[in-house]
Amino acid sequence: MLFKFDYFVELIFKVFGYVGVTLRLAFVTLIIAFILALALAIIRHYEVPVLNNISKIYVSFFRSTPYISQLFLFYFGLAQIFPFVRTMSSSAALIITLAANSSAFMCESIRGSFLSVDKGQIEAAQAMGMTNLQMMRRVILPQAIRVAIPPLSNNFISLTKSTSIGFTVGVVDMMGKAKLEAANSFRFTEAYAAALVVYWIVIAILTMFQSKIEAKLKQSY
Amino acid sequence: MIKIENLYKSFNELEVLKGVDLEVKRGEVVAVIGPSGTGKSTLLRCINYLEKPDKGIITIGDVTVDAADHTKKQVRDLRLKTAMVFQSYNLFKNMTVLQNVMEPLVTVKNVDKATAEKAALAMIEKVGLLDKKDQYPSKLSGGQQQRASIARAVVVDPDLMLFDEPTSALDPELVSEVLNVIKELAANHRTMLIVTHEMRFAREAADRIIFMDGGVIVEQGTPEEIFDNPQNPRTVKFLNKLGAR
Repeated sequence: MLFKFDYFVELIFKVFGYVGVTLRLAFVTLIIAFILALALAIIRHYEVPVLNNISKIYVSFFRSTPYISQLFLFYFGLAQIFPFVRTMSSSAALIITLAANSSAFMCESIRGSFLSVDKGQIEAAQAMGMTNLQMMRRVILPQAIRVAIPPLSNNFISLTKSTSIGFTVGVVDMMGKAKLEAANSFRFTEAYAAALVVYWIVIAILTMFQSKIEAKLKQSY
Repeated sequence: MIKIENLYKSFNELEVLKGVDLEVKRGEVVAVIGPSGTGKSTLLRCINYLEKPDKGIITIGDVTVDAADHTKKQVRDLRLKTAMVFQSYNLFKNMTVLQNVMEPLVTVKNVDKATAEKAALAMIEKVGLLDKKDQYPSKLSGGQQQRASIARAVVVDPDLMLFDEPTSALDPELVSEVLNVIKELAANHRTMLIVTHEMRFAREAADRIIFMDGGVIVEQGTPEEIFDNPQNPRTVKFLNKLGAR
């Protein structure tokens, strides 16, 4: 079976047609995950009683187990127990589980960035009578964000790729489309190669945006 | 009225402050001198609770904080009465000079922006940095950064200013510009506690010299008394070593 190049190119366009689905899933997941991660990072940084220990367990669980098994436990396993999971769309399940998973990794990226802020900055803020919240808002977050962007961008790229697992629960995104085409035509090489090419292009563009953001932040002070 | 009573502070096994008692009158300029590692900086940092004392009572005006029994609010009230100038300046890197000087007024004291800006500009002009007001600290020399941080400290009109070796990190050529600013504050009767190794400056600017060694105040007096006629042998030894007599 020789590689059919025109079919391969045709498939690239077909898969690319679903880039909107993938990106929508990725961005919605990103927003939810980031908010969760920021809350977790602040809890961990200030060692808020009770919540700190819960956060530690949460982060450990989601970082140490494979995402696909987290998704299956939720979508298939919890569906047997909770009716609301049963009626949930597969996209919603994907977003919820992926956001939970990603927030664990992003929490560590953000927490690391807090630690990167020079201690003297904190002391100056304390000496002038700032509360922890004021300090976080005025001094720590603005300075930490620079340090946080590279690891957070990597987290985002990871989670964008992980959206491809969505097809295992029926989400038709770029990977889903590739698999459907492959099932129809039996031309697996062309189909999966096309999928990889499209993912490569999408991630390369996202990486370009990352570089631009980093360059802009570098200039400010 | 500023009073420090019976201050003790250890870091793990090492006892750094072994019972310090000190009173500072309003408008008084007190210089703290002594060998390195003898607790001078720790004393300062205990006063605004950057280090938590193990034992002792600190009183500034109507705020009293007892190490054995105090609230977070009391510590914050104490800090609101003081301002600190650090050896490493510690200007906020993400803010310009003007923003730095306005920050304690706007964020901590809830002063409206317009009033804060006016007050900040006045201070910035006083320390001679008006042309640098929109620069970020990364673009300033050490002396400029320290003068900016002094402006930031004075702008809140603190009851007590704490200077922790303000010129120790500066290149020698930049030391005098900073000392001149501090001398001017002293002449205007700001209440100040200054840890310094600059003996000539201490003699010229201070009303009282405190010599600390081994975690206690060994001797104190006017500059003439301490530098020209030290009584305690440890004081004599220290001053001889420095050639400051």
